[in-house]
Amino acid sequence: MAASNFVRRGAGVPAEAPDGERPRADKGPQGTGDALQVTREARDQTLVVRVVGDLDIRTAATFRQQVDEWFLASDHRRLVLNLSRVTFLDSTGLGAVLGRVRRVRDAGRQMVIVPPGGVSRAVLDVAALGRAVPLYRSERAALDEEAQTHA
Amino acid sequence: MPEAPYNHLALEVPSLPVNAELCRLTVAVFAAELPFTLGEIEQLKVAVAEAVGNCILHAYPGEPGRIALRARLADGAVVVDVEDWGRGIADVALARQPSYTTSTDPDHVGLGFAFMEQFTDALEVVSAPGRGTLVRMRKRPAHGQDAVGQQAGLSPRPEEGTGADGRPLRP
Repeated sequence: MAASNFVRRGAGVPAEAPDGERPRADKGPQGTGDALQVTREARDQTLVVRVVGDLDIRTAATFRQQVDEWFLASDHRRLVLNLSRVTFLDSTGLGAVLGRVRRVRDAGRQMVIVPPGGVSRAVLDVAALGRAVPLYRSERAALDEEAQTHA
Repeated sequence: MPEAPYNHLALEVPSLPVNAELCRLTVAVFAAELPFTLGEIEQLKVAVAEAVGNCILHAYPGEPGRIALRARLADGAVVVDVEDWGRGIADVALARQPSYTTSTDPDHVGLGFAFMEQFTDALEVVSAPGRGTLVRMRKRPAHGQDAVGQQAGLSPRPEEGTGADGRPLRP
């Protein structure tokens, strides 16, 4: 069985957390719960966005919103989208990635991707992602401007 | 070698995004009875997720509706039915074309059926406008014990014309 290691609690989260903190808007049956984590790290002109978990019909809108807010609405010139820890990718997730590629290009900025492995890579390859955007084997390679080690 | 055990499941869920994951994980666990590789199980998960995703996005674009998930093991393969009673598809052949989409969302790539085709061995789609859609997918382990049976000319496919529950397909 190849389920990911993430414990998903999205569907069973109580309306009010025990410590009294307001429930996050993305919890609940329609939210992303813990299935997806998107984090960022700014490095000069480059913004690294790391995606961990499932990028799918349930979580794609959150991913899309975060990247657009963090990158397109910022002054960063280059986006390194690290998908190497994506555990599941469906066509909705793929569409969200391709949509970001298009929007970044339309904004006249640069974007590179560190792809996931396994079947998720095959999903990206069906859409010929490598022709639309440079793919790198690792985040390190993507960050090293001198390294031309395309995956 | 012992025969693959007969097993089946039936599940009904509302067309909420969270249930795409529930369905794909359910089928993954169900299919693990057969000698699938991890990669094949991942492929099956994508195919199921796409079928359920179509129900969520297209069959019931407004209010959530019913999705039936059925699966069975037959002749060394897993057969999965995903059925809805939603909007239906007027032209199935056109809808199955890669990159065809009815969505106005620019991020919608229209590759759902393409992934179902790519990641299973057989895909059948029965649909009528206003009556819903039945998607049936079949997948067999590429290097499982059943490859022997196939070479020996034993029945390689479940009987035609029936769904995952063994009942006839709707017209």
